[in-house]
Amino acid sequence: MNSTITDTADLVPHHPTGSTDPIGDGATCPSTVSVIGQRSRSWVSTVLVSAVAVVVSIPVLVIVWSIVQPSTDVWQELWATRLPGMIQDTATLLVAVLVGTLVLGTSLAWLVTAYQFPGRRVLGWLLVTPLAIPGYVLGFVWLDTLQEPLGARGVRSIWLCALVLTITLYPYVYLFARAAFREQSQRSIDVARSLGCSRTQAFWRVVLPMARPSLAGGVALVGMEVLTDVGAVRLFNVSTIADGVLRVWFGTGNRNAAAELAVLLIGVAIVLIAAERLARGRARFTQSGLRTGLHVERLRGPRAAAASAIGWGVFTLAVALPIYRLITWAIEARRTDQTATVAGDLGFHLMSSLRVAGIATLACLALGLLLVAGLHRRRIGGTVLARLATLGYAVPGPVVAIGVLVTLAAVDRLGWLPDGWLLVGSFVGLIYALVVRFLAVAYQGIESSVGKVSPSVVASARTLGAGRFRVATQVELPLAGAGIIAASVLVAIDTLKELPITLILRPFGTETLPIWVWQATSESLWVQAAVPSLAIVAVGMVLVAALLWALEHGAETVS
Amino acid sequence: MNVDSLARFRADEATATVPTRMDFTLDLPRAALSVAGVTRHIGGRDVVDRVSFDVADGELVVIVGPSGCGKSTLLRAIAGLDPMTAGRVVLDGTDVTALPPEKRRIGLVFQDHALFPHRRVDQNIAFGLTDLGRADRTRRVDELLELVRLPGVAKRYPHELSGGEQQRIALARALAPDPAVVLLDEPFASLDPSLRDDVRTDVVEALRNRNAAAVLVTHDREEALALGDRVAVMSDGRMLQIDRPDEVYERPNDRFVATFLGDASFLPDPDAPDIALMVRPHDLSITPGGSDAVAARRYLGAAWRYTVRCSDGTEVDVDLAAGPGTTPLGVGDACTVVVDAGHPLHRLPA
Repeated sequence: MNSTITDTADLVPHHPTGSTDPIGDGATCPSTVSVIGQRSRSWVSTVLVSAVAVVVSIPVLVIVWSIVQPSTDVWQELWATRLPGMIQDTATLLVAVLVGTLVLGTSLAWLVTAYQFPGRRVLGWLLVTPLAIPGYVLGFVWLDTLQEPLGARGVRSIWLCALVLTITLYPYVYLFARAAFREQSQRSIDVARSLGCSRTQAFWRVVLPMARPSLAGGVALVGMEVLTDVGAVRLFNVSTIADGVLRVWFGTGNRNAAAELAVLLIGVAIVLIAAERLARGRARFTQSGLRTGLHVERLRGPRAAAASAIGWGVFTLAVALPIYRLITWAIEARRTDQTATVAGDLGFHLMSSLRVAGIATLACLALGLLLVAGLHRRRIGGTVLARLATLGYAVPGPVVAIGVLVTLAAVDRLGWLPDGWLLVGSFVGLIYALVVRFLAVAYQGIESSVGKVSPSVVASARTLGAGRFRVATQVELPLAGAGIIAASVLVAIDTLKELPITLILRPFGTETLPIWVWQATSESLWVQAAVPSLAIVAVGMVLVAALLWALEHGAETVS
Repeated sequence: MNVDSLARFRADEATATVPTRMDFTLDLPRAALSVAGVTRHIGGRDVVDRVSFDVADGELVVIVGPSGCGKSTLLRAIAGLDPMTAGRVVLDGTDVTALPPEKRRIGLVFQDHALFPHRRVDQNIAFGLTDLGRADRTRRVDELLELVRLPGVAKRYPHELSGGEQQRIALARALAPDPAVVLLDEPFASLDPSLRDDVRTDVVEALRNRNAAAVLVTHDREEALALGDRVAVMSDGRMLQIDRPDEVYERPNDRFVATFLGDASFLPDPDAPDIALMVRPHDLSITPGGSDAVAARRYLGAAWRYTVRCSDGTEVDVDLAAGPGTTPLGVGDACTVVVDAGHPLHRLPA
């Protein structure tokens, strides 16, 4: 493995194969020499890359700009009535889920990395699968399951909502933590132990602090997902800011009020990221030199049984139980007279979902490759352009949706398009918003994979007579291929589950699976929500399997 | 080959005995570290095979051997990082065989220094000083920085230092809790050759100043001979010989030891068929003409290294001083090998 990974070079907020940085510093990759991108220094590439960066960042900048406009009546009314509660609920939920995912994700990652016990290998994979189950699906399954013991009132609590989100979102932290633990060297632990630390103390004083940037990267993603979530919070009657944006938009149709509320979300996101940045200072977290890997301790007897039980327990709560409940409901739905409509609806919604997710993923992949090729190792302006293009990563979904809406409405008002054509409410508008939100995921995954290709491999290829194009297509892309696939799959999973952007921007007639679930669960029709939920989970599982394959494969080709 | 010249340098039977393996006993003042019969069995093979040795207070023992000979495994076993199959490790009179590494009072320095990248230099050094108060800790850190001659880097991060500086900080960190023994695993291997000498000198000096007992593992024979108070040669998991550097070089008890520490050829003793005489290339000379022939030659700067095929079929290496005006023999030239050692030749079992 190339050991020249520095904390600025290895920015993979959404890409769990590398050590990470919670927010993209973008294109700087100082220690690697890469051919991808070297060629495209012409003005064409500069114009293209700048155009992408500007177009993608406009909706976010529009939202930020909205704060300088005078407050509307709606905003003032909100401030006087519901806003303090929203802020409090958002903060409570955020803190609870961040702490929860950090503890759960990190401990599970440590369990499967440092200990050997029955089922360890299988669990290592299965513990990622909650990624395939959206919070708004797990939410209604648990809601129904816990209704009897807790009662209709008790069940709709912010703490239960936090628990549901923790269980669906911990895989982000888990994947990052596992990658970080795998990269660490046993020697650090050896030295710590020779200096008087027990194994446990070495974990707290050395292993954990060194994994901090990766953990922060995972936690930052979780934070963004919590701020984005509108499905699970609605189920549990938690009124967060994101929920407020949605309510304001659908209740009053007032763009400005929604935008101003959305600024609050950006503020929370920035505080989240800046806090970790400041805490890190000049310290580095990657080691140069030999990576020997951590020694695995074999657990025996009751301790091994306990380790297995914890892993299987989490898997049961997060995946097995919900899938079981969904299947029984789906069978019930088939038995009742809705059968014909359900089957017809399923095909229609599934195709709709696949079309949206597929096109958005391809767009992110294509633009991500374009950005990496155009920005790789670019000194002047590269960082700024990359930051612009990946702003959407730090912006919760409802904000992106409102920002895109405002932008598209402005373009429509200009009247450049042919008569009768409107961007607002069009398929293009929806894809545009999804690209704004998820381009960073693709970009940073591709960037980090290409950055990890060893400079000496590229140099060898060049001296063997391979031209730049051949090196890019036959050496760099195959080596980075698994990482690029992993990034694309993550985008696909995200767009498949996506709710708030689709809710706000979907064109008439575009009914995705999450929309179906949303509509059914709004009226507490669990049985009806089961069929589309199962479809999401099924497609999600396939994608998670592809992701795991790519991560595993990527680890092989890089090392 | 001129047999008469050989006869002249045959060792006096009274002074040269054929040593048997590992039968040395040394009068050590007190053993800081005592290793007895340490064995590590991995995958059907003894990677470390019944190794025993002592290290005195303030002594630096260098373990040298080819890669894969088990020297690093031995070090890890002494540190308690890996379990051992058999044997005992005694530190300062206390049997620590059953203790985990954190209870052993051992300092460790690795090739890749393994400094904690997320801690400043002073925090790295203070890592093992948990039972000191803040003021004492600061004082100790300053004292150690002084010792490794790097005052003023306390507030820097490891990546802000050069490779040599990182290695000296790693030593300071290992010395901080005042360990009974410091174990160094190839500490200079990843340093630039130009830096290596300086860092070596500083590290050894720091160890001497603290009067610290130390075991250093290396594959570099010159490093071993130059640094060690005693040098131990390992091969295939066994410690073949441990003695003063000049002793192991001049009086190896084994052909492997002889050839690993320097080039050597072995000549049959005309009178005793079970004894071989060790000659280093500088112990031999050649004269033009005769029944031997030059098979190859190589320029070493100070000397020409000839490989000569003798009339009886054996091949020996011979160093002949080089310099302006000297005309080297060519490959294929006829010559005669003459023993010109100036000391009795060392005798080994054939």
